Amino acid sequence: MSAEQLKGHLDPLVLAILEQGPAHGYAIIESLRSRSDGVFDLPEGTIYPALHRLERSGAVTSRREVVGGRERRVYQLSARGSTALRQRRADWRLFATAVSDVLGLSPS
Amino acid sequence: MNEIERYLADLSSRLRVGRRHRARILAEVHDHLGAAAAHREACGEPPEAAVGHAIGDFGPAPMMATQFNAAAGARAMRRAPVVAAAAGIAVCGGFLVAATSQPRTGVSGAASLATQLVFLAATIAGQVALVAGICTASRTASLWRAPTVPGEHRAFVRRSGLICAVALGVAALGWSSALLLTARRTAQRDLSTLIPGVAVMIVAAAASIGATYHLRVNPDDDDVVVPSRPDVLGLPEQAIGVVRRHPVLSCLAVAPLAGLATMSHAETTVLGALPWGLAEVGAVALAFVVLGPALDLRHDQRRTRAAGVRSPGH
Repeated sequence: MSAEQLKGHLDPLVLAILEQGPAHGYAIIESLRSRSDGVFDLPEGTIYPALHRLERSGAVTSRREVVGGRERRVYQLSARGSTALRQRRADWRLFATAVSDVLGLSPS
Repeated sequence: MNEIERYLADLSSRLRVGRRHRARILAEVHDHLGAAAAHREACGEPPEAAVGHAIGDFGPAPMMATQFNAAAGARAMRRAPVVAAAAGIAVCGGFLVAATSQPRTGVSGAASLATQLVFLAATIAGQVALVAGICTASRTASLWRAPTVPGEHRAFVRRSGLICAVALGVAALGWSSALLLTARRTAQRDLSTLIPGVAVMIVAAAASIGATYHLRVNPDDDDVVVPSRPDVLGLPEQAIGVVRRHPVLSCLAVAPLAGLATMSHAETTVLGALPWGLAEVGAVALAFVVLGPALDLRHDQRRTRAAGVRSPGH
């Protein structure tokens, strides 16, 4: 899947990964790759504008942490982010069902 | 300088963001590349190849800079209506303070014709500032929750914000001049309110022009547009869309109303107020014709025709 196709859906994917616990940018992109079996393989830097955007909107918070002698910014899902993720899941379910119905992919 | 530092220097030179934001981006990218390279080394890659692959996976510096610049531009765009509103409130407040210095007979009672003309011009500039400010706020509100904002919209918001600020500056200068000229002709003037009021108007307008001019909206850096759902914040923009679709009708509806409002404030007979009303009608029509395309209130026919020639398929 191309990075361009994925970008429109990057925010909820990042929120879903952070739902499992706080993580830094590199861990998020690794998790995104492994949980999609390598299908979502976008340029790793793309994650940072999305994280900054989510932080500004209040969906995630960040703090600086020293991990293994290296200072890192760790992101965490906020209450607003959890609500946004629930909403995006509901939207996606509706959208995916409708597309599957039209394409004839729904189990009859 | 190693390869990561060279990449960071390249990225830094392309970033058009504030100092603190730049430092945060570079620190995060540095950390990411270090972690990625260390991970690859742990998997058995030679150090140099690990760094090279980590940078390759991160994405080219120009592409990354474009994404960061577009995000920073969207944030800067959202400041434009705040600047316009703050300046508008300060200029109106300054005017009210300065106006208390005037005799009870009102401006026109003690003012010469030239002063009244300056006052009318300033008021028309104030109306232009109000309309431009509404356009700025409306477009920003419609994109407030959008994950990404196209460069053309960021450019529009800065342009309309700048028109608002400059018009506010003209209004502040005009109102200040009118009040100062009137004060010179009257004995009952109160300089203790006149001077601070005028100073507030001029300083607020100048600060607004400076702040809007320096907004880094980065219109040339366009990221992939992520679609967003329309919401209630988009309603003002939809209303402006009606004006855009019916420009002549809108102008014909607003101009006479503005003229009548001016006549009602002229403090003279209906016949005496008529020239002021007509001047207002003319000014509204002229402003609509001249500034309408820049504020996206009507389409520029010449530009549309030129675009049609360039792309005959459309």
